[in-house]
Amino acid sequence: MKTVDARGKLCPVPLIMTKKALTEMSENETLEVLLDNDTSAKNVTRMLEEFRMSVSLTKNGNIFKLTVTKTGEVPENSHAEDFCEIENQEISNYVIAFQRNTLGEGNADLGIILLKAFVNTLPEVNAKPRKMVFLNAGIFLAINDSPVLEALKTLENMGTEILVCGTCLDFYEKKNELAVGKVSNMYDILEVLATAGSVLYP
Amino acid sequence: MKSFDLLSTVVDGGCSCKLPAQELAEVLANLPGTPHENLLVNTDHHDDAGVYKLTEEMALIQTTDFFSPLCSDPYEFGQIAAANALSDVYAMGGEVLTALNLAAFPAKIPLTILKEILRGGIEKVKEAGGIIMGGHTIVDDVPKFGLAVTGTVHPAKIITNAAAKPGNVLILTKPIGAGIIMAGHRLNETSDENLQTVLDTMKILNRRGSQIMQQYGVKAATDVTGFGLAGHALKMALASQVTLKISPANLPCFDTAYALVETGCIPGACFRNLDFVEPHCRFEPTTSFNQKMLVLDAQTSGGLLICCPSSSVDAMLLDLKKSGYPFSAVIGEVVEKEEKALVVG
Repeated sequence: MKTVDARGKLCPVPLIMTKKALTEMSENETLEVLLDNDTSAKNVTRMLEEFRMSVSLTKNGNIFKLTVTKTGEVPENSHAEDFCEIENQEISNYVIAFQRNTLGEGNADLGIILLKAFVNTLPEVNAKPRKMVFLNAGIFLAINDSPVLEALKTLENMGTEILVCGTCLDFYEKKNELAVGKVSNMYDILEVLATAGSVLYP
Repeated sequence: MKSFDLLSTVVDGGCSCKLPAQELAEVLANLPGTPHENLLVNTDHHDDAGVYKLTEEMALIQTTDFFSPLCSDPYEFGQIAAANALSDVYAMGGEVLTALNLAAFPAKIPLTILKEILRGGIEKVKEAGGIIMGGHTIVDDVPKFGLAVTGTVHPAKIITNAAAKPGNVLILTKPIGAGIIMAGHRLNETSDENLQTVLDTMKILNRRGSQIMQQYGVKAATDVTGFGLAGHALKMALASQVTLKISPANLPCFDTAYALVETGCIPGACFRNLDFVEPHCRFEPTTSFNQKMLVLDAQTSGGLLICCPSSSVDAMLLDLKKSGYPFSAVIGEVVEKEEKALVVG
């Protein structure tokens, strides 16, 4: 059994020590945390409960002893990119602006077929777009019954940011059907286009 | 003279030394009120300030805020404490008229430190277009500073936390994560530069943000301080009898705040705020533990949380970004009242 002695430490130090120890442990191993103040004991318990690990707490005099068995993984930093501007190496500095839901000029049916091929191929290419912007009828590609929804979700998971024009969603009354990306506005979209290395208009 | 580190006098500083929200509610419950026909906003809705109608054209906004040091430099502490106290006037849509200094100071620390704190405060009141009328100082082991502020607003233009309407879009004007960065810096887990960015952001007055709100006819807003984004959003939802939805993926936050939470650097205030919001809040499974802690992080002199009419979002966001709030972002929306007053996810 591993022991973390956080006596004499004030939050957040006991939290940091506990989380570090848990990360280094293997599954089903037991950890004992010693603490000497109420607040730290409560906060560490709270954190472990949030990790869905069962905790038992005993108190002897002024010393709290917290015992926890590691059941499952400590949540990882899976959404860091949502908060921090981390540049993904796999992502190039170009942006695609979808201004309609077809590709090229000519026969309408062909336009849809080509657009599907275009988007479905994107996850396969090495240079993935940094961001994709959906404007006007382009928003129909980002809603529930879009023919390219799966490919867009894949790209989003790979780190391509998807911005969908909020005014357009409102205009077509599709805001509730948005299925990928986030609602954006002209200011952010303009900034994306203006700072892109290059912009593709399919 | 060797510079004196104000932080050596305290454990908890800034708005994270607030009394927990539900304890405060218990204290205030059943105390006799002083209702009056001219009292337009009182503590019923836990709003940012009280508002009293003087004439059909003018109402007084009164508020006070003070706390113990959250940074080492006394001049910076004075600026931040003042910006924070003035912010409540701006959250109500008003302009600052006058202010009084409130100070507590230990007998054993050089008085030049107090002078620096007051100098920082005066600077911010002047920037706000207000005047300092005087103040009050007592001897106390832990230094404290803040202001009692009087502002004015047209009675028809009061912005409250009780007027959020379904369809409004939520805009936040400053990044969150300040409490986490300050805790991390005390443990040498983040750089001086990161801390300085946080302190500089705290010094930014919400004055321009408030003027922009008036320009766009905003009716509901609050400022984000000790109860965290989630706590203040919840107070607004309850007071307005609506549900607020916050999307954690769109939240602007200070550099390294997320990485610090990931290491377990979570200030105690996050858990206090979790206790407060939990009964009324649903955290969707897509919201990670780290995101949850960020929305609960106590802010000092934080940004305005604005309920923007949906037709004005683009224009207002642009104005905010041009007016000294470059990190302003859409972070969610107001919907009809649901089972939970706050939804994060």
